[in-house]
Amino acid sequence: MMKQVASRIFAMLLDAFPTAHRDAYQTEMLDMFARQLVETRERRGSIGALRYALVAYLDLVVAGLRERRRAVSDRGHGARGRGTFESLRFSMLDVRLGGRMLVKHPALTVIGTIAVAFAIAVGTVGFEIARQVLRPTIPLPDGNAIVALQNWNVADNASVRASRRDYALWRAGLSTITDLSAVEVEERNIAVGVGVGQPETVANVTASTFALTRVPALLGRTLLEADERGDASEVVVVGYEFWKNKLDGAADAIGRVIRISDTPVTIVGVMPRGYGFPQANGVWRPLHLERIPEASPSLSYVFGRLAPGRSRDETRAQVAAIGARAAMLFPETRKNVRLQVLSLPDAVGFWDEHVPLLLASMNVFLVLLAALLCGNVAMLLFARAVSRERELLVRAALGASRRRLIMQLFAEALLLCAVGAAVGLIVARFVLAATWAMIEAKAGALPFWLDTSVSATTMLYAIGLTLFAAAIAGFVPAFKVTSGDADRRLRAASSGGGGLQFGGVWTVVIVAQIALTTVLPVPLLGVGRDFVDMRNKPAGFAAESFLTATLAVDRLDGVAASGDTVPAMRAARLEARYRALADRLRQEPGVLDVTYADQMPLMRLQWYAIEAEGSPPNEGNDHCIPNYCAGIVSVDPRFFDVVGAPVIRGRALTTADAAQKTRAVVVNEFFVNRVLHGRNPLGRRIHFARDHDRSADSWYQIVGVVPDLGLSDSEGDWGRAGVYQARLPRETPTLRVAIHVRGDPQRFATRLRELAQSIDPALRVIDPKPLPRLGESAGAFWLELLVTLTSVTLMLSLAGVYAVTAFAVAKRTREIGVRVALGAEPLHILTTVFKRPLVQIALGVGVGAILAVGLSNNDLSDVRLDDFGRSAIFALSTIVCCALACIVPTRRALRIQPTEALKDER
Amino acid sequence: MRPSDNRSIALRQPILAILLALGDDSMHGYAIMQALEEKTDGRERVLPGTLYAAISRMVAEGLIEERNPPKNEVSAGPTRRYYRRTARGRAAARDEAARLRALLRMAVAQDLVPGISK
Repeated sequence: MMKQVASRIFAMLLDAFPTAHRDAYQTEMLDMFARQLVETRERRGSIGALRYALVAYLDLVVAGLRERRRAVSDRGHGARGRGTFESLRFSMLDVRLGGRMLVKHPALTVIGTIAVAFAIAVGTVGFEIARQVLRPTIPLPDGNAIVALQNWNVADNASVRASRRDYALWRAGLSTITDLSAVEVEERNIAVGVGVGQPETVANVTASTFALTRVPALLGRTLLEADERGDASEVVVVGYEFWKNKLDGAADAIGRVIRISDTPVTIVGVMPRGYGFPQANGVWRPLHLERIPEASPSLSYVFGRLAPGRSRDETRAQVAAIGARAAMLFPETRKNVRLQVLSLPDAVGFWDEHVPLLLASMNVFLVLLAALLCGNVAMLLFARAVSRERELLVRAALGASRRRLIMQLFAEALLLCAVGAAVGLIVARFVLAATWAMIEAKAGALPFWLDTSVSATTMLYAIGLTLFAAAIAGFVPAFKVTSGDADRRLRAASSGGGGLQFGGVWTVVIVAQIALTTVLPVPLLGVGRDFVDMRNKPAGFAAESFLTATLAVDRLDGVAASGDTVPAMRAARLEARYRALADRLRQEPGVLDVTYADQMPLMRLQWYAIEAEGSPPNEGNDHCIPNYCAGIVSVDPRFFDVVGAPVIRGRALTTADAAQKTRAVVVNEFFVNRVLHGRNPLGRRIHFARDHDRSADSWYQIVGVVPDLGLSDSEGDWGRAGVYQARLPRETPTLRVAIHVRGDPQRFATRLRELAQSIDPALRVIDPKPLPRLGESAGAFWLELLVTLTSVTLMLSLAGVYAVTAFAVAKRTREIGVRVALGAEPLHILTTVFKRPLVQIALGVGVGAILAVGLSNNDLSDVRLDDFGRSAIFALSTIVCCALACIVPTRRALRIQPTEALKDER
Repeated sequence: MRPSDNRSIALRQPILAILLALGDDSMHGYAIMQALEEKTDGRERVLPGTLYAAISRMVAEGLIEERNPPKNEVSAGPTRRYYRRTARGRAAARDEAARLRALLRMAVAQDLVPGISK
């Protein structure tokens, strides 16, 4: 494993050489590197091999750059400036000296390594996540050639599912996309043995899907065309995870029978680990195309493979022509429909549209964190370089060129950063795995192409980050320490004093560091406050004693799809099952009551633009101008009584409202305050802007007011404005149940599934969980992540500021000794010593405070007293940290004898 | 190729080491590295980047030349290029050795070489 990774990095770094050189020697160079690596590992162990690899990389890059320079020079373009790259020469001596320095200053090494490791780990993870989300590699043979065909309705701006007729037309007409396969994805209850059925995502696929993905079964076989025939026996292929978890990885799994919605099906194959085509699937059944009505939009996806040797333009033109042909042949359904080609990830669409922007901002934030930490390491290395000033000056006097000294200091920084990077890359793998696991816990099963390995591209990015870190941490102090009048400084250094000081540049660096340290937590404080408020906000009812779940019913097997795909028929079946389940639940000893709604309390509602009769135009700063926005919720007429939050004004919704689908609605208090500006709501009418019908019947009338049910106080959040209408279970877009239980609701989840199964094995209980958990959002996860990253960065920053300030004061030990010997008062000495660091701290905190105010949305009314309190506490802790950094070495300097202090050579 | 007078060629350490490791044999890059390590008891080790940059330069300078692989060559690795020292390379190595000998004499005179006394 190590050999492969190291060789891949080596192969990437070969790009440093000119193309002609690479073409001639790269195979041999790679072979030599791999052999030397193996030999070194045999002789000196893994650490020795790692050391060899790092030195070989450095050597490769430097030799490559030199060759490039020579190539340019040979072409007659680069005669001027000869020696620029010549000077970029590392020797083993530089590296060895760098290693010795790391050992000699363990505290600095540990802080520096942790800082760089942290910067590289978070930078790498951020980049790898962005790469896997935005430009993933599909882990199938030639996987990125797999594409999806999608109908797009240009009038509605929405995709349209393909029909059997589309599929046949595409198969017959396309030559630029081959191996076409149709996929229909649905949820089903699956039971193994005598266990209770659990909802699983089942992919009904044509047998060609397995030919398309070119992955053979791990055990048994994949699906065959014969399995798709109407008279074929019911078979299924299961995924690796299903086999391991549900079948205990049994060697005799092939031939076993499981129940899918109570239909017995025989397992004929197990797919290998990591296979989840098309998204995160683990169960594949044959797709019986002949059961689907010809024009019914039933197929979730149609996939194919780009034919080799055909250009993208050719493919696009052919696809457009086929789409136009469909529009001509079937104008009634395909008039405004265009056929388009998408990548597999785009077709599956796991991530929402905001994710790319979120990832881009996250990476900018992480690079800033890395820069902050690198600045920190640069300060530490400068402090160390200052302590070696005399050594460097003597070397310069003995003939070492400035470039030579700079390269040596850079080599030391690079070595420190390389060690940090190695640690960071190891940590990154674990962090990446943990991040995916956390996202999976929030967002559901992840697409099969996401994995925990770090790609070669990201490895290159990590190397880039390392070089960036080394450049900041190495070159900046190196240029500073080798600049100026060497003779004068050598004389000063020889007489015991230090020629170098933390002058103007470093004052700026320290001030910037303190300013950033002060300002960094401020934006997070504001966002964090909203989340904390939301979590602590009382729900307004006993949410903790409710269990909630979504109910759905599987499609009937073996029945012509036409009968079951009529939504009303399926909804009626679901309502019947719900009523039976509710009756059974009410008879359970631990259950107090049952109700339903399509959106539950604590959930942020899906909002739409509305008109409210008698309200002035909306002048808020949001998307709804000049209208208002609100969410509409379909509820059981008894809903508010069951949750214990009955109407506070007007009347409640009734069973008659539900049965007759009246336009009577109740609204919540937030709605009354925000939309109606506190006016009397009863009798007022509202209209949803998406509803094009403007007749009197299309208006809703407010008949009552209910309390807000546990959402944040954010005024701009339209997801809190609720309009509730009474509907029968069959009329609710999603049937969510809320069960009021005694004791811990989570413990009732299994019983709920058992009862549902006893009523109908096809009745699915999806995601049962206590109602308060509906309030958890993915935003909280990102916030926690940012808070953790910021906290660690701040701690490392403070450690750096402490170390540098302490060093700057300690450097004045001799001066303090002289002052004490001359009879200066300790108070006077303290004032002199503290003056400079305190000015720097005050400047830093001041600049940070100005920036923080600028970041607070320019709206101080939104910044609360406790925000200022927290920021002030943080600024104070920075000041205390820096003050401690001055006090400790000053106290030590005051206590020692003047004669001892005069011997101090720092 | 930039032909120049032998004496004007500044033989950097890896170039001299490669010329000496090659001797009068034909060798590929990896064998050169092994020979160098072997002949110096592991004191000299050259890394792939430096080695192949030096080889490319030496071929251009005419210090070594590419040869066909031996007919009986059996190798598990990739197809390799073989190199042999040219007369020009030999002369350059001789000149450099003479220069080093003069320096060594100075070092011996100052008693700086362990095991060799004045």
